[in-house]
Amino acid sequence: MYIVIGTTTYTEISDLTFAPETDVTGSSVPVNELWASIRTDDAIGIGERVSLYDDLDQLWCKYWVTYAEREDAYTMRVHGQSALMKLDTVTLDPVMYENEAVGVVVASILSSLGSAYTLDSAFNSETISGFCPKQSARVRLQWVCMVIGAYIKDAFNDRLEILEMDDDEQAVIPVEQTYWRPKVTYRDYVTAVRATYYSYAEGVPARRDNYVEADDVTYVETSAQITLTNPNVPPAAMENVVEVDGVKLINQDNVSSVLSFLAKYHFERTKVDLECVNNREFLVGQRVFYFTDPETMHSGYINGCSFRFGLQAKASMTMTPTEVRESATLTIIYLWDDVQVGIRVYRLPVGYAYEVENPYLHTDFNHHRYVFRPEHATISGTMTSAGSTVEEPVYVALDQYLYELDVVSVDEVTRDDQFTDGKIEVIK
Amino acid sequence: MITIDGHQWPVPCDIEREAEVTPSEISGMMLDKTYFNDVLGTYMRYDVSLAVPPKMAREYDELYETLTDPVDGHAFVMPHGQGTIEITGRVESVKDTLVYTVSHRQYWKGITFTVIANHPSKVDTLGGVLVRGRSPLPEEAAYPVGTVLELTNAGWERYVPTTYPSADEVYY
Repeated sequence: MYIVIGTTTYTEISDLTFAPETDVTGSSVPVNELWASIRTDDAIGIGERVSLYDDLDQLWCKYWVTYAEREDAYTMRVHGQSALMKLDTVTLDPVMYENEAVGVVVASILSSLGSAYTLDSAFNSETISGFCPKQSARVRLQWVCMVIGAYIKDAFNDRLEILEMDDDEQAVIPVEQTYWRPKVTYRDYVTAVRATYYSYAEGVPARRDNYVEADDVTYVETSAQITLTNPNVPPAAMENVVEVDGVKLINQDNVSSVLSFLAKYHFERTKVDLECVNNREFLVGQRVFYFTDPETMHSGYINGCSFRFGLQAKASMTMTPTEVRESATLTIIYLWDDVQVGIRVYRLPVGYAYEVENPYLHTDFNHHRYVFRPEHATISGTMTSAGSTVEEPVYVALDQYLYELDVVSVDEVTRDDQFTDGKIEVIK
Repeated sequence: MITIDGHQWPVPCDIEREAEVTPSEISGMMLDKTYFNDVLGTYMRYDVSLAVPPKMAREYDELYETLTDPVDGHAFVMPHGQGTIEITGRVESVKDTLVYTVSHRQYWKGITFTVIANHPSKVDTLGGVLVRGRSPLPEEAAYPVGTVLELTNAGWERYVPTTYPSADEVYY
């Protein structure tokens, strides 16, 4: 790993803390941060850009330095935060939106950011209606994310990304990348979720009417509540209602989708904490398949990832909400003529459309070291509950005998050819 | 013979070396009960004993002062295989014994010290780890089909059969 501050690269870093998180319910907009100790005698200033890269030059985050203190003659302690922290310092005037395009609304909120951002194209045709009082830009952005079903990604890229919450799982965290052993805990029962939705009509309010003002126009405000009850609560459970109130962008058109997601998040009690090898493959906000034991597969959202770094990276992740999913086994048997030279077993979710890359295989036989190349680069299909067994032919690509190595064709080389003076005869 | 900060020591020496294949803190047991070994690199460690003769008392004292300097490392050239290896290493401890004192001169002997390399002599790369399993041997695409390669000290090279003349001048 290395850090770039301004135009200077620093490779001697320690005490690196990087734990990005997101709120999949849109109830908050976490500002992610980076801490590091850097061995340098350079002076590092507040407001400089600080970026974290891995050994493959992949960007992990691009933030702003908000704190830099010299710990000793050769060490600086540096803290960086994402551009979202700037939104706390910006106060926006009251505004009434009437079918305003999401892109326009987001642009008005993020105009003070001073850095690039992208908005998921899924929101291109979405609009927003409702009232925003005088508030910070960060709160207004959080309101927008909640009503459109979005989350903020401010890591692993050089810009802020506003992305659609995806119901489809985007990856499988395999058993062999998961540390022993994930922890499953159960949250308190949430007996119901409740949201208040608002509507506005321009006019003069009566004495007891609620009203709001924006751009010197007065609007009468009316509100109502919708409650969704959790059907899976035991009778003795204490009442525990999660309520969203005061988010005045929730209207009659979007309250169902807001409630629906809140229900999906809160009615599922299971929370899983797991650790896995994660070299930027699994990111916060994604929905993924993962295992709590070699046989039990779950599906859930990655809410937070705390990284520790060696040569590779280890992530401690919190998955919620999460649900158990049926899985089955895909077995790939690699055959050289009729001889089994390798086998791979994958545990995949039922219904999952898989595409598995066939690896090169290495075996030792009769003082030869063989590298086999598979006939097909990948194997694809859809997982069924009965599982699947596939036979994949392989051919000799390299044959090492003592200190000699033969380079061979991979077409139609048979096993009998192996034993001519220990070399491979190429047929074509 | 070893070299310390550019100074060669052509004196009898005993060197015990140890190669530590150092895992990172994120190594651990996986859910499929295999051990994930995230290796940072191979670090060399040497226990060195030098037999410096009494006539080199002045040089001995200089060596002792050099080794005991509170610095983060020294440059060493150590025997390695059939050649040498250059490392920057930290000296962990230095020991010796006062043998005798003659006419206000003090003679020390048996200096031993431990050196641990600050940098790995072998290191894996993140890119190498992520594509492991493809082919650790030379890429077959780089050679025509049928090429024979031979492993030499320089790596994989094309194998050229050696021909030998016989008594009847027929070459085999």
